[in-house]
Amino acid sequence: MNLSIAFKQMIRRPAAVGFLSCLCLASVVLAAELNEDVLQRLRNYRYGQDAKVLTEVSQRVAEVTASPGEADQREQLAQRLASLLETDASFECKQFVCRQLALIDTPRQVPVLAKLLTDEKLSDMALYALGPMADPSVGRTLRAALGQTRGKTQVGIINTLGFRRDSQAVPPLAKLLNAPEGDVVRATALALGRIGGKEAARLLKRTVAVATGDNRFVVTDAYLACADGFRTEGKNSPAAAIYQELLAENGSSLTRAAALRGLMTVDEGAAVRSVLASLRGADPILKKTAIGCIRLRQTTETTRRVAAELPQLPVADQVLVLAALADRKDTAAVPAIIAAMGSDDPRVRTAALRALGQVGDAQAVDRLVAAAAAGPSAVEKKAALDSLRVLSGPGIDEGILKHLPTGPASTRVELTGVLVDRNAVSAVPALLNTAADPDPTVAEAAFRALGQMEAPASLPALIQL
Amino acid sequence: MNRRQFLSQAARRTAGAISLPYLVPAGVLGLNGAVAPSNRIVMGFIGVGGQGTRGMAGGIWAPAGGFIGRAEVQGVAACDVNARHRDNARDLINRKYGNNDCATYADFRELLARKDIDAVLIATGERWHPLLTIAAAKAGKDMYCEKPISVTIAEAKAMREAMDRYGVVFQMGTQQRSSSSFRFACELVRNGYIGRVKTVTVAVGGPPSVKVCTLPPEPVPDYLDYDMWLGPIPWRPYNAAFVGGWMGFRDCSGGEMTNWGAHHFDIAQWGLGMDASGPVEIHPPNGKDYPVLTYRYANGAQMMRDPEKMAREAGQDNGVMFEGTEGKVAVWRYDLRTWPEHLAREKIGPNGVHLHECDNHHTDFLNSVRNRSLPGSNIHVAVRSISVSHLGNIAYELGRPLKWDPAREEFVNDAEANRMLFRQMRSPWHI
Repeated sequence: MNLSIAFKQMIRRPAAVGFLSCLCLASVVLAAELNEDVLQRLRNYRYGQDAKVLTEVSQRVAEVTASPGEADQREQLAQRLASLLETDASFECKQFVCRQLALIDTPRQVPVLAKLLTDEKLSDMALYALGPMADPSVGRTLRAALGQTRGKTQVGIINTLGFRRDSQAVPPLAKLLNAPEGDVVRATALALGRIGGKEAARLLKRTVAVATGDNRFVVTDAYLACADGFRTEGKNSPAAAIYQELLAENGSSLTRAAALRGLMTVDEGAAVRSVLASLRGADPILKKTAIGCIRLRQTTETTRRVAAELPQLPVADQVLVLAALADRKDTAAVPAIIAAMGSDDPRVRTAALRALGQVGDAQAVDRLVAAAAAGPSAVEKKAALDSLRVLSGPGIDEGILKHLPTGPASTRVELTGVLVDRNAVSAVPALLNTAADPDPTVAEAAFRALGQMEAPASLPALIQL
Repeated sequence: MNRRQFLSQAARRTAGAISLPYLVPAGVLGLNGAVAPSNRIVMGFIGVGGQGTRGMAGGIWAPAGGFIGRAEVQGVAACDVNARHRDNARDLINRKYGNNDCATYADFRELLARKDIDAVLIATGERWHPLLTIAAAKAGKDMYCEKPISVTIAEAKAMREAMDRYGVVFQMGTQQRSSSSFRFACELVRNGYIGRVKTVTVAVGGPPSVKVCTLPPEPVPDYLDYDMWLGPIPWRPYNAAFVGGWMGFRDCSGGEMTNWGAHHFDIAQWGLGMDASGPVEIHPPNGKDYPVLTYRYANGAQMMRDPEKMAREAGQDNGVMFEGTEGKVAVWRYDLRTWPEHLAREKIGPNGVHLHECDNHHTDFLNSVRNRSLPGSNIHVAVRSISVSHLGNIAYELGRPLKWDPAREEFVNDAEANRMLFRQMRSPWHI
């Protein structure tokens, strides 16, 4: 074995490098051939014994799988390891062999692994090896094993078929939707949801209609998974059909909420009607889902429709919807936000002031300054100032500067702080003027602001003052 | 309770009128700090060992006082497969509230079936995080899930599917996203203060030390449900060192690549503006042109796992360092250093790029629970950043360069690598 392969083995198994480096180098030489001695030691291996044989075998597996041109060696290695599965080798050995076969991935070992599918103790490890293998024989093997197994082993096979998204498994899985064991029915439904497609959706639709008790939510969740799958594939129409069906059903609030979210992503126009209805309704799960949905998409029409709903909502909901509208960053919400600033309720006014900072522009400055100066409460004044700090776009700093020379002194002091927080270096000339203000509190604030802005060009003018 | 009983309860819960409390923000009611019980966010805690207890009640790596230390939260239940852990958690909660009301559960399904619980903290170790979070989403619970979120990329994606489907709030326990120093460092990068990013150095440890645990069998302690502790990972007999040191074993964990990697690769992604994407190439160390694990991004930036480099250049061996054409910024818990120095005093105006801001990761989560907004370490961010850790581990295991398609979230023409995106779970568990 040459040094470059040896080096690759070391890199590939950091555990061996860090902890077993001497053993690793020796093992690379010994593992060049998986001989009878190695196989015998592996066959008898038990937890807690010296794990050297496991390291040797792992090294050999890493070596052959790192060399794509060594297909023959891969096959030979897999065959020799798999032969142990048909002996009285220890559980530990067989478990380890399954792990290695998962890495080697040669279809010829599928029949040997298949025999373990009905073994309660080793079925999981057989699936560990088979599950990731792409070869079509794996799918055939798993589908055939469905009828030969029961209980947890059958559930394991069902789960694996689902995870492999084996569309050929749909017909045999369909029969299991009527199994007497609830665990099997639920696993089957979930597998069909994961596999997706027209036939799986049809089966699940039929099953949703009759499912009760323990099964109903699980089957519905699987049906939603089908819809999500259609959506991912860009098939919005069948996805929307399922979402609308589940939304209209008298099912659980959670299911209807999930359907609402799904519909929002494929048919916003249709979903918004339900969003508004949910906002007006009394179901708390649907209501909080509707509030979350407001943030999901970006059409101006949705913004306007939701904004128009604001005055009809309870105070607490208005506060949340204002925050959601702000997150949409759609200026179409501004009129409604401004209207909310005139609400009778201080909590709504405060929320509106905060929202205006997120979506407003230069035109919002005057309103925010007015609220900072004359707002009915300290909370509202602070909200207005916070919004002035974060308002983005052209003309904001200039809009604030306009208010520096006039207005209440306390507000003007606050506005100098806002300009500092905005890093409004264009304000330096105006601040120099303000530093000469007859009101000492305003002048002092301007001096502080100039110092914080570190404007060296202003130093001569400051010294003069 | 078995699964049948759990589902019976869930079905009964959803069959009739819903009586879950609708969350009204405490501030809306102007309660000035005191929050009426009916307005509190009711929480359950799943996985109350070391980090779970710290998240619940405060301690290192957790905000002071934890969740139950907050007036707006009511802790009502603790769940753990280790009876000693759950009894300890119960006692902490009862002591906090001065009563004996905290319920304990050995089976998470019973806790999730409770109608009164709004949100859960999940801190069991990543072999269980995907199953628990998906179950919590399907129970309509918001969740704060400790990092790392998964053992594989496929599990992380399945979590994202569930969160998106049910619209629940998910916050990954990467509290650096609620730290001003990390945020400012990333804002400096995102606003171009260091120029075009050339390299990112991430100082974290490597993969887990042992692939397969070979420790000898020992008797299972009577306070531990070992089968549930194992959950989806391949069965092996109990051993105290295995259970106590699970982070060192590949079946349970991605090692330090995910433990600290969940934090620092996350910050790297944040600074690079890659929260919706990822690298396109991953190179394990090869002793030649790649001395350390190296990722390449489509924009030309290169990211390296190299704690020695960061220690040499920034004096810190645990953190992130961004190097650009015009400067450099290194950040760690909880400070930063810039080259040139004046960058640390920069103020980014409102027209610049501003990243999600919050100064307390638990507060961020609870705000999102109330507002139904996305928190800073939401599931979309979490999937992408943990994927970076997992991609690195796959590169180490295969020992060769890999090409990754961040749009499709799969390796390019590489069946062997794509097989490593998921792992088979022990029946009956599945994602």
